[in-house]
Amino acid sequence: MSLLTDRLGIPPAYQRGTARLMQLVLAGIAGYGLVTGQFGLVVNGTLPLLITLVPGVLRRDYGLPMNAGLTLWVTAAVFLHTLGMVGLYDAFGWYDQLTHVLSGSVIAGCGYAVTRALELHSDDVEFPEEFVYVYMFIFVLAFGVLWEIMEFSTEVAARVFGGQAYLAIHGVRDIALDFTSNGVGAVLVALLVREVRTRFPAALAREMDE
Amino acid sequence: MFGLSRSETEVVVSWLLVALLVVVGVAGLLRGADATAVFAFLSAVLAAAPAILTRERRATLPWPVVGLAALAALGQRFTPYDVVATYVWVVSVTLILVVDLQAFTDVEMSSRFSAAFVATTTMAVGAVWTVLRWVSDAFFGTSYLGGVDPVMWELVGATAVGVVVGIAFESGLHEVIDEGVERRLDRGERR
Repeated sequence: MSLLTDRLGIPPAYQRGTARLMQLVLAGIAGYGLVTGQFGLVVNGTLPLLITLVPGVLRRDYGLPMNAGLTLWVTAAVFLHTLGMVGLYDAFGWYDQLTHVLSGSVIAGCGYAVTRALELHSDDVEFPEEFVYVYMFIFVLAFGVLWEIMEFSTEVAARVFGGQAYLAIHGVRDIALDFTSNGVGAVLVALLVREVRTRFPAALAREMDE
Repeated sequence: MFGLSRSETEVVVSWLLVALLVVVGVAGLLRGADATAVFAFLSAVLAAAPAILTRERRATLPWPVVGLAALAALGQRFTPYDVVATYVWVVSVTLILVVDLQAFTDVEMSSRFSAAFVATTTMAVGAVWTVLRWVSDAFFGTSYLGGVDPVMWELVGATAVGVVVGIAFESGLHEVIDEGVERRLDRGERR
């Protein structure tokens, strides 16, 4: 996605720098948790940090074209989530929704990439354009359910074994709003992908004609 | 189970099951409009859609797929296992959609993708269903959702049903789909 570079004119170096900065903060949070013995902070710093490394690994080991913008997108999603865990979720009511829109958009991007790759790879599978957009939405909602179940299982585990849940569910309202925000993220990405895949090349072709 | 060639009997059985769904829906409406009536009507419409859209009486869905929907509708109406039945319903509607999509659009799915599609769609419907009920509870004074625990166990159940049926149908499902596609092609219609 060269949206940040081409459309908004943000140099890739700045995007990489921002992502690095976020990674440093995540490492800092994990380190602080380790020193002060707060296991929750270690988990919430380390896991997201590992996720931010995924685009780099995909580029290096699998030769996938992951540019600076994609890396920043993934890093920003987990970074904002971790800031939320550290305190922003409690401070601002809307913050949870913001992170869910963003993480929903990342999952939608993954869903899009996987469905498209499946179609290119396999002869048994064929999806029209519109189906892929619909399936992205389904994929994101299903992932949201998986995520809530994961949160719930830490809660159940905490109840059974004692201790505190690292990912807490605050209520039915939270569950419903999480799903909604994930869905909004998916729709945003679907619109963006549509724009980039159809209108952007068409506009470029027009430019070339002139 | 799904390898049977389509006979007139199967077409009739499929239509009878659609009729059963309509009857369950009407019975629900008579007792006061409720969610299970909507379920029954929706699955009836989706199952009859190919026949209605192509104006071809024989363009029915495979009877086991419609049968699963009917079983779910009866389960919701007459048994105490209505929550389980609801997700059986979701799976059956997903299967109906898979067959509809495969037979009447350009969508082609491998059996493995169909399994994943059934499982993820069931989970997604669980999410949408939760949001809808929450909206109703929050703004229209209903009380469908009990609390975090029942909602979460329901979602766990939906996921389990989706994954189990997705895997169980992986081999059989594809024959159902192929059959639906062939049926359409038999009549020389363009997919």
